[in-house]
Amino acid sequence: MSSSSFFCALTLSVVQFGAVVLVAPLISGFRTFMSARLTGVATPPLLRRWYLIVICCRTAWPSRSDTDLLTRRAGVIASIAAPASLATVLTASVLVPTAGSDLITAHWSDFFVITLLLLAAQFTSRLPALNSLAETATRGFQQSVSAAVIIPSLFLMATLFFCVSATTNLDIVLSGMRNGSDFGGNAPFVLAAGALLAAAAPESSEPVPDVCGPDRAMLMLACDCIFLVWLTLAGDFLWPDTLALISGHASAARNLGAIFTGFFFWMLRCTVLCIVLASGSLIVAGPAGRTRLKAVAALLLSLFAIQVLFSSHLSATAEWAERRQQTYNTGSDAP
Amino acid sequence: MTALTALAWKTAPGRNLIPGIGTESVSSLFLFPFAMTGLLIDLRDRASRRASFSCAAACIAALSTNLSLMAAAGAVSQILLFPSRRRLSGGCLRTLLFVAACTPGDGWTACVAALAAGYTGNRGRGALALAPSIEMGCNLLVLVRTVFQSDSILTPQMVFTLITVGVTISIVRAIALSTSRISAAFINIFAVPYGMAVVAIGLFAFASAEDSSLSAHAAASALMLDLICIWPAATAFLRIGDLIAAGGGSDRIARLGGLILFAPWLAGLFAAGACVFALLPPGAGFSMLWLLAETTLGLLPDRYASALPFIFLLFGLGGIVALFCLALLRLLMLVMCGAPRSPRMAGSVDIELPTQYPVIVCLAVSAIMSCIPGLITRFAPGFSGALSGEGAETRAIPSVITLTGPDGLSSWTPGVVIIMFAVIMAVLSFLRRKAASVSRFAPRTIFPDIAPTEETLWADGMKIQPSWLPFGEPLLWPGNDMAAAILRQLVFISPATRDYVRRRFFKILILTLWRVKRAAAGLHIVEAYGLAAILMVAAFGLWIVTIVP
Repeated sequence: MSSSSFFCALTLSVVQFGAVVLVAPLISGFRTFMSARLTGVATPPLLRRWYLIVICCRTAWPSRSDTDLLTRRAGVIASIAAPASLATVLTASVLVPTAGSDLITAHWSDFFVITLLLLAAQFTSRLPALNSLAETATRGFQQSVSAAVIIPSLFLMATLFFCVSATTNLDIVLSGMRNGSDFGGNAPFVLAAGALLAAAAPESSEPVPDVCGPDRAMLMLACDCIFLVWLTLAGDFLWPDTLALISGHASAARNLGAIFTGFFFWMLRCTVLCIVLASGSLIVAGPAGRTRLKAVAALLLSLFAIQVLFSSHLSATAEWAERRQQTYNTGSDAP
Repeated sequence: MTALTALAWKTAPGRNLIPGIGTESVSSLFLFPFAMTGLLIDLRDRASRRASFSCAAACIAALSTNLSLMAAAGAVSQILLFPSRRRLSGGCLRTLLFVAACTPGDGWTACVAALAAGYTGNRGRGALALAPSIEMGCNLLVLVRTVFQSDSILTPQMVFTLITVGVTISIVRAIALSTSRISAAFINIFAVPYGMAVVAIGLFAFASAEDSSLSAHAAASALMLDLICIWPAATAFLRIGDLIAAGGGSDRIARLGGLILFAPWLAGLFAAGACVFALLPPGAGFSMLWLLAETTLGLLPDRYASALPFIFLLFGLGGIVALFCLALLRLLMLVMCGAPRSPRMAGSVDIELPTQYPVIVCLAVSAIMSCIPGLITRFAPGFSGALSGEGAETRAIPSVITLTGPDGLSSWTPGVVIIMFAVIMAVLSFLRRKAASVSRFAPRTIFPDIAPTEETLWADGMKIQPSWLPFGEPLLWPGNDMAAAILRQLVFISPATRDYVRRRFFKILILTLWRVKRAAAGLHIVEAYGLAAILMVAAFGLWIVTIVP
């Protein structure tokens, strides 16, 4: 990697990191807005989520003498879980290409690492809920189960990517998809994106009521970032051509333009996927039904994607063999 | 440390000084987990001497180059940990199977012994709580010797059995999600790395049969990581479970809870063990899982039908990760969080420093070793073969901090992710502290006239939440069966839904019958006009036939 490419990759990574933190509450606010609009209730403003986070940041924990035992205990767990969850999801976000590929972390962006880091962040963000009374704890564990049911489907998706690019490195997989797959287009990846979208569907982004202050703000931000990173991953597989390509040989203005275009398309992708998810939330189902739907949808989509890939792979191989045979015949007929 | 030094001593001139003992073989790597198990034994315990001798015998079995010596030492190590005369049958059977597996044969006995060892249960408290580590380790040792060192090539049926056994053990041990005993929960969680090790051995055998040196090396590396990084952490986790049960005064999970309030050091060790041991990044367990998944992907055939078993295996690995994470979360929730559910638990005290040190050492060694997985993979058999195989001229010696998949493109560097996480965590902690220091607003009170808390006259004036009920609001904590109930609700359709479906089905059936009956009753109309309709159709057909040339 030349020095200019390295500098571009570093700049892109830093900008992307900042953009994820800034945009995550906005996207979450937009999803709430769309859900409210589609269900016909009063719509909250887009910036409400940011407003809540700032208010929580400026609110102090109750002083030690005023607090009861429950609040104090919630404080211990939340003070560890909130920064850990946010740090985990931000680490994962550094590895995911949002606006452009060839990040400085491209070498480490493995599909297993990213997805399981996101799940680790989801589990960690539910820890304060598990520390509460039965009703909240049950809901928190139910949300953890809802996140865990996606894991088997993630392994199937990794199989799909490995079948195409012979690796699970996300950057290489996306580069291969952008260059156009020989094997039956990108239909399997659209199905895989659907499965990831099922994984992204959040149960609830509100932390437990016992937690307040900066910890609550961090938990809210972590939930928003988790949602955004899942959405970004799904968008990457859905439309990999919109990722900007940074080249060390191109001029700085050209690279800057590519990055801006990449960020624009990223926002567009996320917005469209938010509308899709908000429409999906119109399906009325209980918490168990929703988890069941999520697991089954992700599993079926992943399996179907693998089947489509294998069938197209086989037909492409047959076509290739036929072409080869024709070429051979033409060669042997020629004098 | 001595064990680690001995492992590196494979090329020393005096390595075969004692007859029957050597460090060249792969099975000598078992010295490390057995030595770490010995380190965790509390010498004040009644059974500590027996357990120490058992660990020493297991170490001799690991280093033995003679099968008879291995059988004798392994059997002695298992017999020394038998708890009482009453619960001998299972242990005796497994020891007999172990001895039978040590005899030269076709390998089926080793498979059966491995399967039986996967269901090892609790042997007791104190030093005996570590017995599963020795027993499972001995059976894994004989399986490793059969697969890695014997000249006989395993049949495909045997490989299939091994992989199925590994996955089955790990999934069946998800019973940790519903057990009410803390010792059973910890042993069930401990068995998961054992199951994964059996899967790794099966994949190694398959890759060797397929002549895929890179995949075979990756599978062997997964096994090495399991033995050196995960097994000590898992054994430390067993020890922590025993300490929690001893501190809480009960083996029942329903009587524990709120550990973080009374024993912060023990709770911290519990959380640290869970982090090191978990199958999620950047823990040591994830490195092994990643290698297993990459090996399976590397062995994927081109055809859909032949790839299906591998797809099922990957699906099974995903299922194991999900169940394992949920079991760990359940334990965290019921033991560490919440409030004490018995007076004995509320009176528990934190562990002393001498008790903490071995556990800290084990976890620290596991954590440090998991940051240099590339170094550990060099112990794996087939390392030189993987470097000198096909495309060797373009392949570089892998870095000590990076794991590389058999495809050569995928890589996992735990150190980098840990550093990124640590940096972000440090910044966030700084910002959190800053935000807490400049916070100006108190939480908004909705009803300012109502006091948020009430002071009790008992319990040292402890403040409780306001009560809406005459005797105060009941504090209901999540029960043991909560996780199982949620999963059952998710997998099985509830009786209410089943009744609804049944009613709906019969309603549709009756409606259909009624419609058929009505249609049959209305047939006379069709009968009246039927002849005319048939004649018209026939005429139309004739007309078509005549006009079409």
